[in-house]
Parts: sequence; C-alpha cells; structure tokens
Amino acid sequence: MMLRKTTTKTNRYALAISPRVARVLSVLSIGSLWAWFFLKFYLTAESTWLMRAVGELALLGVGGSMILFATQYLNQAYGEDHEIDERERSARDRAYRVALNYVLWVFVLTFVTLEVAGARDVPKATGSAIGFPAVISKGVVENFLVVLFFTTFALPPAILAWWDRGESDEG
Amino acid sequence: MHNRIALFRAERGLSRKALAEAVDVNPQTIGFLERGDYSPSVELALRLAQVLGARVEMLFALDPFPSLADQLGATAESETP
Repeated sequence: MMLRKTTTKTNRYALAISPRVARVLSVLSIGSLWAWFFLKFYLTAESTWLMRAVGELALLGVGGSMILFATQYLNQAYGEDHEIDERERSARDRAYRVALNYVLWVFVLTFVTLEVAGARDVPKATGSAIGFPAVISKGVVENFLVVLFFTTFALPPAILAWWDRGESDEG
Repeated sequence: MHNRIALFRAERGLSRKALAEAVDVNPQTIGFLERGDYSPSVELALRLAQVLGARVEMLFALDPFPSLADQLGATAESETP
C-alpha cells in the first residue's frame, strides 16, 4: 500500500491498493461494522472482555472504511463530473444506485423488524426507549447511525473495487 | 457494439496510455472500449476516430466486423486475373 497519483484527470494522491485488497477490505469493514452492531446489541455488560473484542470490530470497520475512502476509488466515487471520464461517471452512477438501494433496504428491514417486534408481546415504549427483545436505547440508535454512515460512505468505493478488473494502463 | 480500436491503435503504434491521453480519458477506459465492455458517447467515438485517423464507421459497427483474414482473402481473390 503506497501513496500514488491516480490516473484520473486531477492526478490527486491516493492510497494505491490492488482491487483484490480493496475487495477484502470492503467485506471486512462493512461486515465488521454490522457484526459490531448486532453483537453489541445482544451482549450483556457482564461480558467485558467480549465487549472489548466487539469494540475492536468497530475500530476495524471504521478504520477499513477510512482506508477504502482514501484509495484510488475515492476520485471515481466522490470526484466531480469534470474530474472523471464518461465511463467512470457511468460506473459511479451505477455504484450510487446500488448504495441507494442498500440504504433503502436497511430502512425497510429496520422498519419491518421494529413492526414485527412491536407486534409481539414485548415491553411497551417507556421514555426514550421502546420495547424490543432488548431495549432500544439512544446508544443503540447512535450505533445504528454510525454503522449506516460508515457503510454507506464506504459502499461506492467498495462497489467500484468489486467492478475493477485490475488491468494495467499499458498495452 | 463492435469496434476495431485495438487494431487501429496497434497500427498507429500507440499505447493505451498514449491514446487515453490523446482523447482525454482514463487509460483503463481504453481497455473497456477495446473489449466492448463500454460503448462510448458520440463525442468520444468522434475523438477516437480523429486521433486514430479513421472514419467512425471504420472504428465502430453494430454488427461484427469481418475478420482481417477474410477481408484480405477477398481482396486477393478480386485482384487475381
């Protein structure tokens, strides 16, 4: 992994990593963020060493997302229209569409889960918490937003990495 | 859409990078175009034709191009007295 100029028109510096590494990083970061959210949701405070281990997952997820964001896929995913060519714009637009679908599905599944949980005989909403197998506190909502933010943030570069054939510029 | 970009590029002795710079795209885009994985806009097709010194219809076609060997064979046959 090294700092290198991208091949886009702006010639910005970005972390040069292979598409394969970027793919692994994307699965690790997005996967560990969701794993952190669900494990933290169901773990009790008594298992401190486990809580610490789960906390490491969050660090891995956030760190992985940040690294992914600093790679050569940054320009293509978040660059201005004039900074990338027409094929890159087309790929970026498709990646955005996938990212939008992801966010919409997360919202739909969250809504359905809350509705299903609400239909069951679980404790009713009390104060800032609502009924669920575990109480949904402000912290849980914050964790959910952190996961949603970082995974959505990392998704367009991750998708572009998955579509990258990793071919040489020469030939 | 089918194209002969690779053929014309090789004939002109241009690397992907050089052609990409000439038409103002990422070098990877030339690879996508040559493989037929991406169909260019009219503007890019015209720029490619200009740089490669060919007409657009010589570079791009909706139907597959006949192979070079077939074309040369046909030319040789027509020239035979």
